[in-house]
Amino acid sequence: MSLIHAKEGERVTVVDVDESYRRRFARLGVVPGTEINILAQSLHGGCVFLCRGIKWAMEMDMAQRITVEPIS
Amino acid sequence: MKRSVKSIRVALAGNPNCGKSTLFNHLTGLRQHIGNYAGVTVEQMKGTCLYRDIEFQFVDLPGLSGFWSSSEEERAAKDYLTREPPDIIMNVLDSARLEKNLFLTLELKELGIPLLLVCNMIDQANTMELHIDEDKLSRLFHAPVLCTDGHCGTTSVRILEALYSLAVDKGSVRSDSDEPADELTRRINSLKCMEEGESEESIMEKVRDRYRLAGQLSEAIVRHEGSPVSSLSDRLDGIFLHRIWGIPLFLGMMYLVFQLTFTLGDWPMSWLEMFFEKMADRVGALFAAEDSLFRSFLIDGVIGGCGGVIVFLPNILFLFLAIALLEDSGYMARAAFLAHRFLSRIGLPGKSFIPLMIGFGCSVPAIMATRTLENRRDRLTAMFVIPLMSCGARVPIYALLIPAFFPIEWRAPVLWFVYMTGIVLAALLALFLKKTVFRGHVSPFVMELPVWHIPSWKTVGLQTLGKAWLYLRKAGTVILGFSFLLWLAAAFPRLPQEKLSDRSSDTAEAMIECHERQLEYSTIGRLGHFIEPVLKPMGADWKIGTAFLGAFGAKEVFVAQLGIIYKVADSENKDESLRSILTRHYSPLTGTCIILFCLIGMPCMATFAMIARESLSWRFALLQWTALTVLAWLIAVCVQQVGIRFLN
Repeated sequence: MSLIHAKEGERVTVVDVDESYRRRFARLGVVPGTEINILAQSLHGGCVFLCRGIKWAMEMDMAQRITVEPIS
Repeated sequence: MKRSVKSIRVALAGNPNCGKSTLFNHLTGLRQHIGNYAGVTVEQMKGTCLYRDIEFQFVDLPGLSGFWSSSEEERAAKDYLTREPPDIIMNVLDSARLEKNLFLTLELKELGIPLLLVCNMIDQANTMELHIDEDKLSRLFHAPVLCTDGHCGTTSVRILEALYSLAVDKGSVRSDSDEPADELTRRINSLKCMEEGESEESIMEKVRDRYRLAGQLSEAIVRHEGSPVSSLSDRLDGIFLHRIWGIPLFLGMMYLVFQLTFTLGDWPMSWLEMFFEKMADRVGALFAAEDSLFRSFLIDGVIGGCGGVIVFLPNILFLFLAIALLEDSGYMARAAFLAHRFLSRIGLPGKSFIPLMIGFGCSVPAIMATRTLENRRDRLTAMFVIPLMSCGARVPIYALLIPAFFPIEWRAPVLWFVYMTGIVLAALLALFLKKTVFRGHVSPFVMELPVWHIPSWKTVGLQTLGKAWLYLRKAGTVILGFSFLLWLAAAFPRLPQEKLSDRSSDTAEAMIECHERQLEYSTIGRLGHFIEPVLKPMGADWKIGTAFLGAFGAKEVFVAQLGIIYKVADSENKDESLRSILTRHYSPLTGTCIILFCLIGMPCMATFAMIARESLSWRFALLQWTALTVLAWLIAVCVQQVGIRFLN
């Protein structure tokens, strides 16, 4: 599923990222295998998550390019 | 006894926004601009420092996330490190974000140059209850480690001492060769370099490896003593980024900022006004017998020019205080996130909210703050519209003109109308630029949300006072200089005696007529007359024209210049009489046109120079200046012409 569909408070692992944004995401530390904590899915067109100890706010258009799976 | 001085080259490398520039300044004593944002160091900065018998030559590299990414700055930094390798690399790390910062350390390690690891901003890590195991970090990278706080006084000595011992005996840094190399050390040493021209797949594979390793290293080194992230911070985000309350809270905050700026600033402002009026009276009385030339220079030029600017210091101070509070508390990043939805519709990224906001204080720091925008198109668009955010220097103009032309109940709405006009025009212009010249997608929004914290009075105070000092310095240099030039231009060339009115009576009217003739004869009068045909359609005359010319030097000069033109400085109540003269000379419609022209057109000299510097193009700056001025003229003329027909 894409990052925007993850639930608030959920812990997920990055499975894949959109090819055209790969380097961009990698600069933030978002690469396949990275663990992400979803902190907020807000209506303001984006989500807030924690990755490698840093809290990021990301717009929906970008967040939907990250494919994740929940950590059970 | 003279010892020979050895010189050692040290490169400072680190992630963007890790406090590198602060350390560099501490070490070299240079005043490099320090911003709160990523990407402040654009060019390499160099500086030296003599410590014992070694001269350290420091080079401050731009902030790097890693060498593999394709950004220009990072490539330049890599080129520098490989082409002319420094003797030591001082890697500055942000202690609170160690995991991400260690990625770069892994890459630097591969260069084989002796490393000094500086875990900076340790105070912030401490407040987040993070504990860093320095010894372990040092063992893992075979490099000395220091934990520092950029603001602490002893920091530079500790760094220099560490660099000194590293320079003196390069090899013997904690060589724990007896110890069996542990698994992590082995993995650090076995990382393969990324080569030029490698396939994207294999680069990404290596990037992933490094991140994985950085994660494990951070796990081994950093101990969380409290909850991993402050839960209070999360709860605050829940409020301020709330899907329903977020936007109203945001608008409320902005309203509060402006309300504070103008209401709280009003009291000290009236005290300052009184002070300068008294001073003008005193000085006037002192030189009562003197030739009017020197007297008018002192009163109109010096006291009028500078006083007119200093009076607005309280407003500026409050606005910058509010901005510093928003920034230091962490709200600014949230505001940028909330604003992204609106701003992206007009073609600006959410991050441009911060520079635009600063633009209400002064365009110059606002243009500098556009450095946070990664995309050049976005940056140029933001720079283009920033002068439309009505800056603090334009407040004096409104304060003079609005009461002159509008009854009291209309004044506040007119002021709001002026600000809104600027904002709406900026939006339309940005949209237009995005559709035509700077076509392309708005860069998608992603931004780090700093941990919320109670603003530190030290940071906020220093920032506000620094800005206030810049403003005062401007009053003392640019504005004083410009006022002097304008005064000179108004006083010379002197009107020949024979051309003066022959009936040399002492009546007030004759004096005023005499003054007016002198003015028309002077340089500024001639310049004003020269541009008058252009100003006529918007209802302005050559006198207003000269004030516009002054406003190019600095917007505030407009007011002082009108004072000089109408020679009201020595009358009883300076502002009131200038206002009544204006009311007699111009219609409210013309007043509106003048305000609009000041708002939109002719960005001041300092803004022009800053745009040229930051856009790296004089052509862009010139084009923008012309475009805004033409736009201002068109709007003012339209308002005047339509207004006249409508009112008749």
